[in-house]
Amino acid sequence: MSTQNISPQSSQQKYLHLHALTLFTLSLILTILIIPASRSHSYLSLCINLSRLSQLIALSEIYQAYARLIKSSIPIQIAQNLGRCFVIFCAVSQADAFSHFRHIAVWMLLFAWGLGDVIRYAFYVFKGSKVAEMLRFNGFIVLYPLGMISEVLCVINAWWYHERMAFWMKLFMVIVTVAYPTLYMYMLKQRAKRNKRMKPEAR
Amino acid sequence: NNNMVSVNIIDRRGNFLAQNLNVVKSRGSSYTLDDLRNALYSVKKMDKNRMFFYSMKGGKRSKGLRPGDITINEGDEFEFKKLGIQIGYRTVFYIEYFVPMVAFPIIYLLRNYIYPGYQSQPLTTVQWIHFWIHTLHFVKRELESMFVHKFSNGTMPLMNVFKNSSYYWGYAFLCGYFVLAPYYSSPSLRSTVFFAILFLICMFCNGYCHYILANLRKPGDKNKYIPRGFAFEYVTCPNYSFEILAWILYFFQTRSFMVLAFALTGAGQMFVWAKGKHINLKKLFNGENGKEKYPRNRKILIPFVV
Repeated sequence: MSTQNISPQSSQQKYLHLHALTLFTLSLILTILIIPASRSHSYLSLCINLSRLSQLIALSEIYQAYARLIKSSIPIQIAQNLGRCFVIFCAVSQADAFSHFRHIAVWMLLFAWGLGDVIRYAFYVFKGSKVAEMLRFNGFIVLYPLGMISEVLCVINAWWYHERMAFWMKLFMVIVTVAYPTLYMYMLKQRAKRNKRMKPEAR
Repeated sequence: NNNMVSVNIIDRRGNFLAQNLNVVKSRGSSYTLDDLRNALYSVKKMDKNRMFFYSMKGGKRSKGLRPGDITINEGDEFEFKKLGIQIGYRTVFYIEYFVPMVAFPIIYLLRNYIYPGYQSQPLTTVQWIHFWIHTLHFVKRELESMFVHKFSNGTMPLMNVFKNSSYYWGYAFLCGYFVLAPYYSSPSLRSTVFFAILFLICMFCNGYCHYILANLRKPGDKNKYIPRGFAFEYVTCPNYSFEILAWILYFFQTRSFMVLAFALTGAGQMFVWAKGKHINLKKLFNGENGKEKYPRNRKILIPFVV
């Protein structure tokens, strides 16, 4: 997991704080709008656009990893950011809002991403908050599998309906077969490390 | 006599095979594994390529001796092991690359039998490009085996032929089966040509790396040197890097997941070899006793990454 120091002492840290705050705000709006979007095509279309905007802004995290502003490896950052961009730009289309099955898959995706990003960026914006930390290290247990399943459903849907995209969707499925479990296990290990560190303090 | 030492050779059970065996230094600087083999050959006539020795430490078997310079002191003991039937590296390369070179032509000629139920359809332009790229790659490998590669280890176990050949032959036919099929869904000609050009560039770069490695030392010199120049400044095994990249490009060219399986299997094996070579070179060129220090920033396979 990447870490950011949010006490805005240098211009780099101010930039990181602003980045986290922007994405926290966008994710929060997305999470609020996703509730009526379960029954409304126009709201879901709006949420798709909001999510696309968030993912475009999040691409700057690749630069942050390159410039060592955050403790994240460049290949992992590229894989995460480009993977999400691939799903939201290539696998999800506005037309999905108007089909019942696809509507559910996209709704689940945006819900998992939205809530996951709210928790993630809240951890950076409100560093020191016990609630934010607790959510950060526990929320993924449910949200990550939910996000994985929805991404797979959206990709399979794109595979069936868009002949030209079939090859890229299949390639995505091959990659995530390895990537998803590996990342999930890595996050569980990070959580276990953090819990072990917290135990003496709790006593 | 500075050019001769007396050693003992024992077998696995601890029985002496040769006592007070004189090992003569064939060239000025230090003893080599060939010196030890020649010494044992003088008392036991057997295939020198099947002679394997372990050094002894505290009366127990220690490291296996590799080709090149070795340390031999007066009175040292070595445990002898007779290796299984050996086959030359070059012969193995000829065998394992020959069938993939002709696999696609064979499948093309037998298409009516391999894909029953399909009327004879000519290959599309895109399929011809896949055909020639694959075939040319293995022609290049055969030519390199004949004229470029030099091997520090002369032989390998005979069983390796079957293992290596099944890998290359199996994948060649599997890839050919899907790529030359009448029902193959071709990508666009533009993207095929784009990836084919990149593949050829990688093939050329891989060949150039082999050329650099082949000319790293003079004939008969078994010492190791740090490869320099071209992509060797960034990674230890750029020949493997270009090979892996080429096959990934071929995957994007053909869009066949069988090619991806071939690429990933090869990449896994090459990573293991590259990592071993990287570790060995770093240990050997540690900067001590006047030796060069292996460049610190040089990675294993991917520049600046891994």
